[in-house]
Amino acid sequence: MSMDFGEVAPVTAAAPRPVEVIEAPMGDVVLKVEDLTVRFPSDEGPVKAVQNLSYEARLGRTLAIVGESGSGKSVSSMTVLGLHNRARTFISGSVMLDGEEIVGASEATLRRLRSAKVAMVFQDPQSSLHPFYKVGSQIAEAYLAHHRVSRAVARKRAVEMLDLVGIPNPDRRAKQYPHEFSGGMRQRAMIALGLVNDPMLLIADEPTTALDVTVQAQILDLIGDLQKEFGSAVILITHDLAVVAEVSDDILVMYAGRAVERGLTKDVLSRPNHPYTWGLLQSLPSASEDADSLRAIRGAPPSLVHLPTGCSFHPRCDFQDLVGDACISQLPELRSVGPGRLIRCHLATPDETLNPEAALIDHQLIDHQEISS
Amino acid sequence: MAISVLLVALVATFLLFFAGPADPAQSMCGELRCSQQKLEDIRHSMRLDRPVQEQFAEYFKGLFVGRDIIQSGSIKECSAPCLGYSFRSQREVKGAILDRFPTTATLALMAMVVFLTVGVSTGVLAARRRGTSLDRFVVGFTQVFGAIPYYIVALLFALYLTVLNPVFPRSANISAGVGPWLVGLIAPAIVLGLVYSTGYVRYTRSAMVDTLAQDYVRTARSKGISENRAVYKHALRAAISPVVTILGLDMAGLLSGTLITEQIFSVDGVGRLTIQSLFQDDLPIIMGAVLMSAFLVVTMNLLVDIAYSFVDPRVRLT
Amino acid sequence: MSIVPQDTVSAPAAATGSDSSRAPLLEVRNLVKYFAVKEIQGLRMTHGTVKAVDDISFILREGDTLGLVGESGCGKSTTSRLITCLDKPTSGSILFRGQEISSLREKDLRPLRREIQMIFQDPYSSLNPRQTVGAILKTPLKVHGLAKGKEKARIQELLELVGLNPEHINRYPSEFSGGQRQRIGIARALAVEPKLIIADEPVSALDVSIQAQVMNLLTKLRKELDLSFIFIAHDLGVIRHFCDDVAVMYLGKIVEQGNKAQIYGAPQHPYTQALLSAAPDINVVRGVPPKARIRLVGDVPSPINPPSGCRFRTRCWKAQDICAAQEPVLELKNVAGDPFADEHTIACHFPEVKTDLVAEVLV
Repeated sequence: MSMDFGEVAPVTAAAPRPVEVIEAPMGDVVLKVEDLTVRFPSDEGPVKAVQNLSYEARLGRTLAIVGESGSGKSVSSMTVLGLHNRARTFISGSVMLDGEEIVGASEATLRRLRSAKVAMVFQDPQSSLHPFYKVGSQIAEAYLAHHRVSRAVARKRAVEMLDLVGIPNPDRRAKQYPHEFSGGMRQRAMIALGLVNDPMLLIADEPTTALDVTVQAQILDLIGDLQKEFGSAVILITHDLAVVAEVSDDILVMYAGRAVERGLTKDVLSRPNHPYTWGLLQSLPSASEDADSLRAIRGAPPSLVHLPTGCSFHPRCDFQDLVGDACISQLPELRSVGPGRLIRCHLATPDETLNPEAALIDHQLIDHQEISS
Repeated sequence: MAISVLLVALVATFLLFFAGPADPAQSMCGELRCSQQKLEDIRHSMRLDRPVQEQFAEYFKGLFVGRDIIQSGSIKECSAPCLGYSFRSQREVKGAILDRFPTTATLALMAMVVFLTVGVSTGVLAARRRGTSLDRFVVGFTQVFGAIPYYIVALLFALYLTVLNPVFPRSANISAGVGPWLVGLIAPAIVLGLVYSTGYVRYTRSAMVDTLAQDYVRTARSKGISENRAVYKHALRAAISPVVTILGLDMAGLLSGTLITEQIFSVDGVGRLTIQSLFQDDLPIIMGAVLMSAFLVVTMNLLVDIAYSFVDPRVRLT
Repeated sequence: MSIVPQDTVSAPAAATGSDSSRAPLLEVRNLVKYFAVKEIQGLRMTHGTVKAVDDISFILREGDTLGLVGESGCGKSTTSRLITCLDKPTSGSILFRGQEISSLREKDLRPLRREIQMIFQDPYSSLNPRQTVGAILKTPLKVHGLAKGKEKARIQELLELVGLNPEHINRYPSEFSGGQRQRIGIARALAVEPKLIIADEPVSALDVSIQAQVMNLLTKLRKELDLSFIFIAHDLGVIRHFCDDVAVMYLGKIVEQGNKAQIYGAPQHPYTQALLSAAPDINVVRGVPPKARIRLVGDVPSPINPPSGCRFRTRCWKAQDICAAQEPVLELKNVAGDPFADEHTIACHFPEVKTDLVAEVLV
């Protein structure tokens, strides 16, 4: 069978790529969040969206912030851009972006930093682009906000960006409106918009949740390629652990507004040390393996107004009885369980408790890594 | 679609006047006790002795081609669009209305300037400061102000600001010169504008509250542009659509003549003409005014639709 | 016919694959649904047709679970509406227990609605917020005249069946969480004791930790009540977990169909392979070699003007002239290297087995 593609655009690499176990370098810290707390007022009382959150983002690395609805993952990243309504939001703690403090910063400072040092790609590209303006001019607007150039130069830059993100016929597309783009193209345009000023940090909030799976793969590839090319730091906010596994270097798991586990992605997802992370992994049906039933986490995520006492996860935790009353009465602090590895849990020996079979196959894993690296 | 609306309005008006219980000829006569000869005259010239369908066909023809009116034995030509002949004032309806139209139109445009600037900017301000005491005051005030019957507001304004303390000049006829005429329209334009603006404050505010919360405004802010730019270029631009629709309808009404305003402020516009004709039972003029109003509504609706496709690019490719 | 377990994919213990000796419960033959659309461009108005479902056929036997997988515009939701008779097909037939149901009048459809029920995607909009849970569950009982005089007991029984507290019978949907609302929706579907359930993305709108709960519930109910399912989802993991048979849809057509070992272990259609390759796999962190990367270019084309011949050809890396000229038929193909050739149908001119799309798991 001849592989003659004729006039159909040759499309894919059908052959599998070699296994890449390239560890991303430890770049400089561009974002340092320390003890961040965010609260919103509501009729029932203050909503404790984020509490005492600390993490870092480094150049050249992708940090995945994982959590379900109400975990506080989106709220914390909106804080980095200063997008909360100051009149109604209580924010305390520190968010240092490239050495500048964001919490309490003036509007002028925030405007200077937005899009230039940190940019955000939002979840729904359909609603995030203005329906009445052409795509090219929306991208040019971001460029003009930070560079004193003519409109023509800005428009040219917009076309360059559309080309960079893989949109064919970029000059024609720049003159079109968002509704004339397909879903995947819109998200690419959002990424172009985010990167137009070459920011050092790109925050992608559920960038592929609204997209089909084949388009999702394209977009994730694109973000990864652009990161390698420009060396920026990427924060990926998602609830999809499989995406996290494939795409990120570091992971931060959030539950009910707090960080519950932090570390290298490959460590945390292969050997979770927190019952919530462990529970999430157990409950995933995988396209890769068969299982009779899924081990679900009982109960539901708590209300952020009326949080459980002590550890917020204790009502749903399968291991609470191993520890006893401490889980109900005392909020566990973040503690280190290894180099770069933190958990918020009272379990004395989390690794052994949650990963009993891990010890058995440890040696097999080590073999594989030696072969492939 | 627009044509059918016009046709229905035409037929309905016609039937109302010419097929109704009142004797049109009597009303058209103009005098308390009409001589039999005059009545016969009118009936004959208006072809009232013919069946209704014929009368209607005559009228219809007159609109497009023109027809002949018989008056006291002589035949006058009524050029297209012929809206009828007023026996009372001894002139063609069309002429009577067109004479007054510029005044009404100017008044309408001046009022539009007032209510658009005051209404929209106040609405935007209230939306930006949503929940604060300023916002609550604005909402409360517009509700109270809008609840007062218009004629009371207009009367009070006219009384206190043009008669008792002449802050604003009295209205003048155009024959007194363009200057005084224009200046005389300021007072009614302001009253009209202020009262209409309450609606625009509300529509703009609610549309803005909605658009300010939209994702694309969040995106705009995240680009690092100024807050004002985000509010006006992004949020307001999107909020304008519902305002455009209402503007079209309001203008149709204003251009048809504001009866109360013109009467209270003695403005010689179409509205005042219509009121006078109502009191005098001058049917042809009333009919002409109604028809013009229907025509304006249809036209404004069409213009609004066209404007929409400029405002919202998605509309072009439904 | 049995499914031989291979070293890449473990087959389910119970052989619930298509056993030809069982009578078909649902048979769909050459089902077509076109929608007419008008587009206004300036002053011109063009008429087009959305070919949402374009000639699909399949058989579902009692006890089967068939998964319909595909991306937006593939026609899986339209198919579900046609099967539940919420829409009339443009042509083709739907046979339930041998009886043609697509042309029945509403009156004659009523007894059928006891047999075929649907679970919807959005637990927030599919329950009437003004009705209590009790009222929501009472309606199907009343409509079909079931549990006369014992409605309350039956409703409480249903609530327990889906894992809800029967004492909450007088609560409103807004007082329940998303996962609980979905359970109410399931209880509603089960109230009439159906044989076939069409589940349209039943867990997509739920949090990840809740999805597993609802999936387990559906598995339990399927076994206890001996239900048959048509399960629609875009998540390949969920489909693999729940369904024994899978049909892959693209732009209104079925491009590949078989049991789960065949589809996941030895897919032959390029689109199926691309889907499996695109689905992110969590096992990459466990030191297993990542699967073959196949990346499609561009977005899914519109179902208004699908490509001629094979609809997938515009994104296919194997496309040749014959693909534009002749539409491939969904049929059995004995391709070398396919260990599961029986009843594994593919619509492609150049099918090729790939067994490295699902990462191995070391245990």
